[in-house]
Amino acid sequence: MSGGGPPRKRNFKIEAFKHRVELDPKYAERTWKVLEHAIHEIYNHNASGLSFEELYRSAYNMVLHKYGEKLYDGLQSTMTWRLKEISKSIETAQGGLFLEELNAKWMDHNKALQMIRDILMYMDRTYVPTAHRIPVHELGLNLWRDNIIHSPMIHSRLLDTLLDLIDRERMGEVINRGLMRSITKMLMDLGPAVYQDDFEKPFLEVSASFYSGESQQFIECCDCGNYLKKAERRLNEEMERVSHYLDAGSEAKITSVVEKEMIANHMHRLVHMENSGLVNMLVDDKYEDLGRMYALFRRVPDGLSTIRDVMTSYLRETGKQLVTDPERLKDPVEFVQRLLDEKDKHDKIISVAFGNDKTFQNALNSSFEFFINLNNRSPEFISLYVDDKLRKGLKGATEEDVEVILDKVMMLFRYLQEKDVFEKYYKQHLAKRLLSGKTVSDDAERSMIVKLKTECGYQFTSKLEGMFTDMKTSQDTMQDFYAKKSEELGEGPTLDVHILTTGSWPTQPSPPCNLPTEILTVCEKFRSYYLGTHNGRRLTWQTNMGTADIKATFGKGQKHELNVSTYQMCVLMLFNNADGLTYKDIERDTEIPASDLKRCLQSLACVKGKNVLRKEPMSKDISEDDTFYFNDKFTSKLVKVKIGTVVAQKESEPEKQETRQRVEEDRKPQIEAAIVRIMKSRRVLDHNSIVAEVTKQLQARFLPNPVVIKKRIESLIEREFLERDKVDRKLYRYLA
Amino acid sequence: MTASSMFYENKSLDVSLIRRSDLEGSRRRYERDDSILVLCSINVLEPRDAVAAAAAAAVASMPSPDLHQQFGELLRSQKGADITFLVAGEPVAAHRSVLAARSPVFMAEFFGNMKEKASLCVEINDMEVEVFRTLLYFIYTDTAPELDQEGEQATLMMAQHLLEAADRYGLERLKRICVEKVYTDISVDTVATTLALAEQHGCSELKSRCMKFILATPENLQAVAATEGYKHLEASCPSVLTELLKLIMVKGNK
Repeated sequence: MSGGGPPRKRNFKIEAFKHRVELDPKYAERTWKVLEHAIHEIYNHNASGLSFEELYRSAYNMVLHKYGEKLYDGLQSTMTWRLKEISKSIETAQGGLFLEELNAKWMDHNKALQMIRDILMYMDRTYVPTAHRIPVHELGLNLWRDNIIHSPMIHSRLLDTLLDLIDRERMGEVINRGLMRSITKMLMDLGPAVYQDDFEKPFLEVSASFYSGESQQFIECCDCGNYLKKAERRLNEEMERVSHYLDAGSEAKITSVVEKEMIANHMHRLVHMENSGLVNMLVDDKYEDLGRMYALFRRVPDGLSTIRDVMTSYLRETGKQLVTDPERLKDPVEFVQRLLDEKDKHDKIISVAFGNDKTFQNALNSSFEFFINLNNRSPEFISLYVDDKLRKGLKGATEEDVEVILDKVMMLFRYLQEKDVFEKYYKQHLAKRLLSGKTVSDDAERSMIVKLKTECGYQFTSKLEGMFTDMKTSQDTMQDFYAKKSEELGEGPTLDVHILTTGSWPTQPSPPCNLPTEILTVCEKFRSYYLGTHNGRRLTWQTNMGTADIKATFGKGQKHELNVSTYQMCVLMLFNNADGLTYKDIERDTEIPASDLKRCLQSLACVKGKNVLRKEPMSKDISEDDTFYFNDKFTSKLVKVKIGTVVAQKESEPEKQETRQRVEEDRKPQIEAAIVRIMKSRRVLDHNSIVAEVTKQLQARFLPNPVVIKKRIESLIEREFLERDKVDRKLYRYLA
Repeated sequence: MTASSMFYENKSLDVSLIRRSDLEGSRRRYERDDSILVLCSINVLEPRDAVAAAAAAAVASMPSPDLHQQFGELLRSQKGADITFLVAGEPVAAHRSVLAARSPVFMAEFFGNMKEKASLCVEINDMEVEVFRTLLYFIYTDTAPELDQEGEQATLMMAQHLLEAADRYGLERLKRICVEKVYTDISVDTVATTLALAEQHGCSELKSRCMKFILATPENLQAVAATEGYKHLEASCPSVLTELLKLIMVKGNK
């Protein structure tokens, strides 16, 4: 019967199972001796001569016969004795061989432990749990820990060796990483507590003092950029160290040590370092350095907020200087361009070096908002910038370029607190552009309006759009006029009228002006035509806004066509009847207001190449005693000569005051409307709440002054829209 | 109005209802020319069903598991056998890898670092060869047809032997099967030896069942005390008798 297979019907008798009863009193001792011998042989590397079957069975029988305890205790004492011997051999190892010896013996012990556990498997499975003893493998590790690692001779030497090697590696030496790996793994195997107490904690302490010293050294001799490079390098080095021969759990701990010692402790000094700190990096666009600073500071508490705060105060400071520097304010277009450049520069820094961090973007926005509003001419200047672009700056630009520039301007617009001031100026400038026909692209104009509408709503742009409509309607009207009245007009001067709806266009005073007769006639014809087709309207001529083309013949018979303003035309036509006129004559005949007249005469007589009049005396400025003569000797290479007047410059002081006043006047009804709206829905509200609500509602247009709000409330009380509460003077009630 | 339902095979139909009054009611929203238009949109989720049907068909024609048969055949044919056991003088051939896969003790024995790693033959003492063969059969096929016969005394004896072997070689499942077998077929003749076995191999349930059986009636106790097995119990596990005595006293006091 040598084959296996399902047993056939038995043809022998099987008896009830009975374990052999052991009668020999020395049985246990005998069996134990066999096992003890085997353990020693295993440690002596003679395992291959042993029979597993016999040893396993011996241990099995011991446990079966209730000698488990003897077996276990025997194991414990034998192994302990063995380990003490091993400990001695490790202690005697010389210098560099210490770690290797320790490692080698550890490997041996593990192999031996495995084999011992195999033999004693039955005990491990049955006796150990019932007697609540430590399983064999764990016992082996504990004994190693207690007799080797914690042996006084070895304990400190091991730690010192490890720390010394790490220190040498930090200083640039190459060490045996594999051996280190093996040792730290051993410590982890003995239990995380062993690894932490016997290695990691001291390691972190030593590292902290190492980096504290090194960082002190570096910061004395390095500039900010280089210091950060070194810090980054050390950080990477530590992470690499962990990945090669430390436990992964140490990474977070050691990196936070480096972060603290090298970065957190020196944060302020680095950021404020002279000639190389954060501000210098910003000024010089040092993207790489800034990016490094961001990445490193991000790791420490308050790191980023430190950078942000310094950046914010730097921006506010520079911005403030920019907007209050009188030199800069001379050229509004340059001023705004400079603002846009600053914005671009910092946008790029945030995107390239700070990873588009939203908090930095917000800091940038708030800084700009802060300093742009420090100068109350900012709205005007921004409008002038747009005006310049739409007149000539965007000439030849592609549609995309136009969009890009206008979008950038809109960004600045958003920062303005007094958006209604901007609106006023924009209207003025737009009017001038439209009426003088000096706009580079209709599409660009439209695009700007759309952007403003998106940003501020329909209310903001409805009048502006009205202006465009008027221009178109005027064209149609003129066509119709000439179609119907051409025979009537005959040979008179050709008229081109722009009819402006009063509400949409900036309010202009219409000062008096005596038009030449020929002009008057055709103007009257137009007026009657227009009023014939439009009932109930009133027309007023705006002589300060017109232009004229005049044919002029000079001394030697040269004919030129002059393009002049209406005022200039009135002045020049006078010279058809006289060769010379005094200032006073001209003023009396034309009735043009003095400041305008002076500018007008200046452009006719004092501008090189455009001096169709000669002035005596030949001074630069116009005085009331001057006399003017028709300049026979005028020459120009061009047939058509354009004599302009200064256009759309920034306002003079009085003009500025006037505009500001108008803005303040316009705000009053808006504030009142807001107050009424609020009170109507709330019925009863206290003073401070009203102020807060009104401010909130109007903030998209301007920042209302609380004093003004108070005055408006009082005015409303007088007009019986509101009343004060009889008991609480700070409370107001809505009167239906 | 719109409503949707999912209709499945073998599932009762969902029905969506609307009041007549809503249809015809004062608002008459749905009526036009005295008629109502009902629009039905049907989505047939065919592909999934087709796959399921195919899968079901595939399962039906799949051959049933036969791992244990093939390994059983391997044992019988002894092809590739690389170790021979001498059990009470009888040679029994087997395959190291299979044994090691199924028993941690064999794993340590054949893939450890001691003599057996390289030897061709292993001596097994104090086990019956039939028992060893049954053990091997279980190792290869995870079945013990030997124990399937009901009620026979011999089967019970085999179960006892097998229980010890299973415990020795760390085969938990086999041990449990044996415990079940012995558990159900307790008799006066066998209870004493079973009790000794339970005590030595840590089968507490079996032990308490045996003790209960013995103390069930005074006749039982007397009968058991007269068996050969009882003498063995006295000799090998005297502590069990002490426990029995305690239980008798407790019972007596009730």
